[in-house]
Amino acid sequence: MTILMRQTVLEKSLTGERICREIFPFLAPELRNLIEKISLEKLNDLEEIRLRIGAPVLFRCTGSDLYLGRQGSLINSRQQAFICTSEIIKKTVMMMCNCSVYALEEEMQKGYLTLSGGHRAGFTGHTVIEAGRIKTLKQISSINIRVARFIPGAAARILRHLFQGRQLQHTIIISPPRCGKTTLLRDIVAAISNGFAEFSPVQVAVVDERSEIAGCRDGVPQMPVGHCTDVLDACPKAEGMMMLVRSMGPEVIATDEIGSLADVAAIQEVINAGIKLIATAHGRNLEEATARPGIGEIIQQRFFSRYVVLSRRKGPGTVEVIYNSEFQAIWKGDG
Amino acid sequence: MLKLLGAFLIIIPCGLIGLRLGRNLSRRAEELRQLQFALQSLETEIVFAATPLPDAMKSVAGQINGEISEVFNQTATELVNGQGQTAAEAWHNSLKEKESSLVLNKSDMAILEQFGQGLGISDREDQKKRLTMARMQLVGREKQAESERRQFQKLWQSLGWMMGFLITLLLI
Repeated sequence: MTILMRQTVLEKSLTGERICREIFPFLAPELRNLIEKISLEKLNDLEEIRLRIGAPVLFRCTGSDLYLGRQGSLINSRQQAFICTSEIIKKTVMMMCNCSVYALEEEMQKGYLTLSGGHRAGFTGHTVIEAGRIKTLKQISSINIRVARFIPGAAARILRHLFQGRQLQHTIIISPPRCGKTTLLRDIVAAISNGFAEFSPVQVAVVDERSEIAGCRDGVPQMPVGHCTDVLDACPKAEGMMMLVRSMGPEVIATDEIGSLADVAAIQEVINAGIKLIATAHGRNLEEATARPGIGEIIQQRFFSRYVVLSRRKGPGTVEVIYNSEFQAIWKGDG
Repeated sequence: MLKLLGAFLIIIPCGLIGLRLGRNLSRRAEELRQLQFALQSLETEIVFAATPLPDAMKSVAGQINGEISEVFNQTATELVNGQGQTAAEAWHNSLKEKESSLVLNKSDMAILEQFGQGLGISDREDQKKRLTMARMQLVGREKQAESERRQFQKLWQSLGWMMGFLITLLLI
């Protein structure tokens, strides 16, 4: 049973509608005219839209990669596909930054920006270097639009396994990209922040370095992250965690993609302050994550007591296994 | 009596045309001044506040007068209700729409068109350069317009009346 299958028909149709409302207005008019002809149901499975100069427009859906046809439908054959031009890319970038590239300098420096609704647009192009650091991107050649999904109930099955008695355990979600790591983290945050079953709401603070968890725009979360959640948007993780410990008095801190050595010190600080931590990291499985520098050290030092491993085996969000602090499997998920 | 009426019918329009041509000269200088002021405000909005263009345009429109303000207002409106046009396109459309009510000449408009091409497409530093360059060009144009006004405003005004009298005399 996959998480996606749990998504009800109603929620699915909402995803398509959200894509139309929140992503399409930012596309160049030529592209928009073609895309408007695609049916809502097809859009429900959309995970990414990839635009590259001189290449077919690619729609990556759950289970299949489809091209945008010249007539506006999604097709399998690359020969009939609509080819993206530099003009379309240029216009799309302008639309996404509200015709004001200068207002999004920092985002351009990092190579991505967040659309309202929490969707993420990543860019590549020619980087401008100043004093050895990336100053900005210009002549953008590729755009990747990642659809942000909020899947209510994604975490419901595993939530109980993250608790020992009534105590939430330090948890890390380990998964390769595109397996629903952030979606799961977001739902865990929302669930514990709103309270679930017999558990009452707890104060959660989120360090959202890449604006992916809460999808903030102008500092306001666009995704439902729960009513007891404070979001520190676009803040470097290590500094952000320290800041939150001192300033917001959270009971739980959640953050995405830990791994640097600076993170190790911050995590120690958080744990020593008696705050529970929920984090994610890249890795196919526990062994692989342990072998990586940074995150490996964090795992070996046994900071965490729950390890949730995800895969795409049965669609995004498949929970493979949950380990406890002794690395014993306590729940074989969707196996 | 009829002759007197005819004379008036010739002299008054000629005089008014002269007055108007003369006034256009000073209006052009005034519009160029307003434009410089507008670009200065836009620069502040962009460089110091990094205000998104639609809001920046709106705020600039509120700070200046006359037809120039309308151009900025129109651009802001187009961007807000936009059907996917870029800032350059919105600016171009607004200029075209308001062209008839502006007294700027072709080369003044060319400066504005060129400035519009770069609107919002780059980082703050580059936007500042573009804005400064357009403003410098406008300063030059204004100086020229001002000297034209000094030279020709009186001339046009008196020429209008004189032409009126001349035609009347010839007809009598």
